[in-house]
Amino acid sequence: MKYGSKPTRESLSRIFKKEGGLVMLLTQMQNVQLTDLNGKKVSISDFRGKNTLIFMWASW
Amino acid sequence: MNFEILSVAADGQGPEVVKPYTKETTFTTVVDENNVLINMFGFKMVPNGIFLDEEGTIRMIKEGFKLDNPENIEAVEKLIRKEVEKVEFEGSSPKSGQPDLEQQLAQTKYKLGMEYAKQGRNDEALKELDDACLLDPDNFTIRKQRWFIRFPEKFTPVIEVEWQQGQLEIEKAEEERRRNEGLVCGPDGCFLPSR
Repeated sequence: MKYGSKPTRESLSRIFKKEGGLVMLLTQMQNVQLTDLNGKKVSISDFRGKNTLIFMWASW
Repeated sequence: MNFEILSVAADGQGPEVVKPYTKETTFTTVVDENNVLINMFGFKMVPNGIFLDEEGTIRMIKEGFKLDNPENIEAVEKLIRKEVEKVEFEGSSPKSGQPDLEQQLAQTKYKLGMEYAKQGRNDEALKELDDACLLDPDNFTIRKQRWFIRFPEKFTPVIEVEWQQGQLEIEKAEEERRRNEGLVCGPDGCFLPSR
């Protein structure tokens, strides 16, 4: 595991360029809306302002 | 602590199969029936972890992120405490934004197959999923849905995880054999070229 230093605009844009399209990915992801187990709509953007771990799993 | 978990269940069968696993949990669980998020990141399996900071910036993308892996948990803790800018794991750099043509085709066939399955048209569903598996053989989410339809007895009443491992090896060997015979895949499906 590698840890970077303090983020700067330059270092972040470097990461995103290197990884190809991450910025686009982020924009797309913010628009994703899914339904919770009670039928309520939840958007990724609802988690703005909080450190969030999106954990993807499956019952299988 | 300013930290939330959003649990995303990639279960094509909907919320009812997910609910037994989320009893007693306090975080939000959503169901991603069509693998929207998984596909966005090019993940071919679960579990996976994405870390977003307060501004919504992606700080970690980890295919195979496991909650019982101390290294994974430590990474999240460091991100919360802002001790690191981002976390990269060896051998898990995120996929590029655009999947290749075969993978896109596999996704199209997967979606079509899942639509057929919803309508109870299992033969047609399996035909699409067979093609999707050949087009994107490493995609475990597609393969698993195919198992679910073809071998429902392996998923209820208990999910036979060991069976999945053995079956995966059998299928991979069979696919390898067919590819060596010259199998070609395109928009109309996968065929052996006529001589």
